[in-house]
Amino acid sequence: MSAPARLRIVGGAVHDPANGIDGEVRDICIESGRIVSALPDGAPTLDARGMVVMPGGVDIHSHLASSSCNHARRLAPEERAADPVPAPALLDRTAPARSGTGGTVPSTFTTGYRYAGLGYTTAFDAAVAPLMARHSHAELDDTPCVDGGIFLLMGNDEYLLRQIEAGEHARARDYAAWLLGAAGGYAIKIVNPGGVEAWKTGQRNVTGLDDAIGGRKVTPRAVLEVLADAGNALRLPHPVHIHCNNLGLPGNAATTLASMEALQGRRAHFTHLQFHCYGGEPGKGWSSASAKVIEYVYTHPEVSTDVGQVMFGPAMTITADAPVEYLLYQSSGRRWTNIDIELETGCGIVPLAFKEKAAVAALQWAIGLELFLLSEDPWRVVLSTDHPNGGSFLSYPALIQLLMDRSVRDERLKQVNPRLLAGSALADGLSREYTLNEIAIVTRAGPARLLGLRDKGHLGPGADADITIYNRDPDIATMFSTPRYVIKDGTVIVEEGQLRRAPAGRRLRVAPGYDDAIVPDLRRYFEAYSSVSFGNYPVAGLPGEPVAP
Amino acid sequence: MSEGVVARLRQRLRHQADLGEVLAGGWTGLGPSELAVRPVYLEGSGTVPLGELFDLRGEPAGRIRFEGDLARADRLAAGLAEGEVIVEGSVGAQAGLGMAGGTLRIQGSAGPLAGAAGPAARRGMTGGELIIRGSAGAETGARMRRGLLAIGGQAEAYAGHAMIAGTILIFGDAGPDVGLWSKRGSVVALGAIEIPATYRYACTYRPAHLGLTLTRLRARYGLPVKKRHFAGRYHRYSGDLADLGKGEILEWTAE
Repeated sequence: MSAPARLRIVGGAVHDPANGIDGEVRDICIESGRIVSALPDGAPTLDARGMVVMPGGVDIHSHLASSSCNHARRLAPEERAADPVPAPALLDRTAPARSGTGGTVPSTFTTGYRYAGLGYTTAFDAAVAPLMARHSHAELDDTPCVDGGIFLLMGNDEYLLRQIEAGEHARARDYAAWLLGAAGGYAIKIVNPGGVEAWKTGQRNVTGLDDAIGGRKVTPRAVLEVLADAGNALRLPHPVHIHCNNLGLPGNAATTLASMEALQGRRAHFTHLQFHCYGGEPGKGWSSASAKVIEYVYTHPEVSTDVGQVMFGPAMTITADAPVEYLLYQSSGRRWTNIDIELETGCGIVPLAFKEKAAVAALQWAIGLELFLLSEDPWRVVLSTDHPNGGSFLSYPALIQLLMDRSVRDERLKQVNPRLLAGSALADGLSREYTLNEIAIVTRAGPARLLGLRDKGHLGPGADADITIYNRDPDIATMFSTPRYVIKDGTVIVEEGQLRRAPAGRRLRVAPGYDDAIVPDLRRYFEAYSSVSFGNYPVAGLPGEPVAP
Repeated sequence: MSEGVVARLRQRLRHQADLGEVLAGGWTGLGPSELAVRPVYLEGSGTVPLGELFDLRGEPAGRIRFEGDLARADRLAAGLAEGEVIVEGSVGAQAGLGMAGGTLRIQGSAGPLAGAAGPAARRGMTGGELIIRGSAGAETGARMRRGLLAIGGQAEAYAGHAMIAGTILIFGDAGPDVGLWSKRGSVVALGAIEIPATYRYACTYRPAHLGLTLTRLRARYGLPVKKRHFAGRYHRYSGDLADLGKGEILEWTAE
């Protein structure tokens, strides 16, 4: 029997906010892929003196492994031609080293390598149609270095809408539970509740929480309530993950606040909040409404959010919010795709670039930063760019620099179009600078806690040994874009800034219980309406065990 | 002539009901008590006899009339092969799915996939007449093989999708992508229509057979056939050229 793999990380300044450790110099001990409190003398060491030690990064909301990502890859061949990625020189011959392509939506292996190269070791694809879950799992199988999971789209699902309309909330919950288990999902996702179904039935969209959805006696409010209750009753590790109605429209902050109020008292996560914090009126102009929304978030501990920051540069908008993508296509004139995923949801994709000189993009950029800088509880306002919607995950270091370094931020602010920034908090001057500990919260400890990942996002005994070690650098962006070491499950995968090993990641999924009485009903439903037979629908052979509630 | 059997909905349907097995195969010789035991699948409850949901009366005379709001009743008259079915109101999805003969008359509107093919079926309706007085949902007549399908109101997207043969008439405006992937068959557009890019203009003429069809639809079903429909001419477009291309869209035009 071989000795358990051990490693002692010596002398680094540890930032482990979940355990109240803020830059203290201490050793971190690893045995068999987990953090332990002590190791016998003579265990191998890794010298981290003068360096910063943090848990591995956790991306709570990304689009990295899905059929829609594949559509996006096909939609932008020029991005891939411009960014060929050679296979990394791995030391470990057991894992294949694959070449690939980059751009805003990298190929699968490259996605894993690049996340690892950034010090991220866990990432969730936040929008997967259950019907397409098989595809996502196949992509995650080929996305090394990160533990991954998927959120399942349910806010426009035919069977669910029918149950809500009939007042069968218990059956709606059972269906959600069955779907999560069958498709190997981790959380319930709602995208534009009812709006996608309305779009598919010939309405343009829904406009607010109390519109009828496609001629039904169901409202977006009912969808939010039933699914939020289902997520909480099933004791899912992550509550319902909500992309509100009216994304990207001026004045949508009112809808966002109404959605939060509708769920008052229920645990819920509101995602890419930046896209939902606009004041003004359609056709009459835009303004920032971040202060009002972030105030609500702060005073309501049941609400959590990620920001969905916009970063200047190329982006790829990928969403199940198909009607929004139609608007984006109309306003941008760019190529686009729009897909009807039969009974479940829709999908739209438009490549985009956020430009400093564009007034709306500048406002979006400012609103995202305001959410960060006005947030009084970083545990509930965590970092995302809604990769690749607001920008690639590769721009996280630049975002961290904007948060930590006011002089860089102010310099950048001078370069952007100020037309819509009058009266915005950022333009008035926000002096706050994030500390390293706050960065550790918004990029690791916070997302892990919101996701209910007990063994991630911290470095206490028993945690997964996912660790990132950075060289200190006066240039924050450089520091965070080139970690010196990255450790995944106790294996050093990045050494001296080079990717050396690329082990497969684990799958994070749940399989909540449900009343079996629903099964014959679902069998019938699939036979009558679906293009997939009931027996073929569940994804077979999922790796690993589901996460316990 | 006897009125036939009348089926009146007892209570508003709260759940989706699948009536697909009620009129499949032979039924015209059956009286109310025999039809009452035919199975209906009620979502959430499982299989229940038709008589539990409907009050049935009358005599067998090759005709059945449904009364009540059937917007949540799917697959009504699926696989119909004989007789006349009349629905006083609107129906849910997949009415007349894969019907082979007989007549289905819907006085209200129909949901998606009326006269179309089921999820596992290659062919939609293969015969008979399906008349929708109101509007029709998406993919009406998808993959139909033969028969006559008339829509008094508007048709949503993808009417006649992947049609193999047969005839569809749309009196109201047609949604986008009519007749996409059709092999053969005719779609007659009496209202506004957007001709798909894969159809090509052939000629403008007055098809003689259309007068006969319109006369029949007016006389027998009271559809809103106007003088101008006879007097006008029709642009003929051939398609779908991305497939076999032997189908046509006939677009009514003035003069």
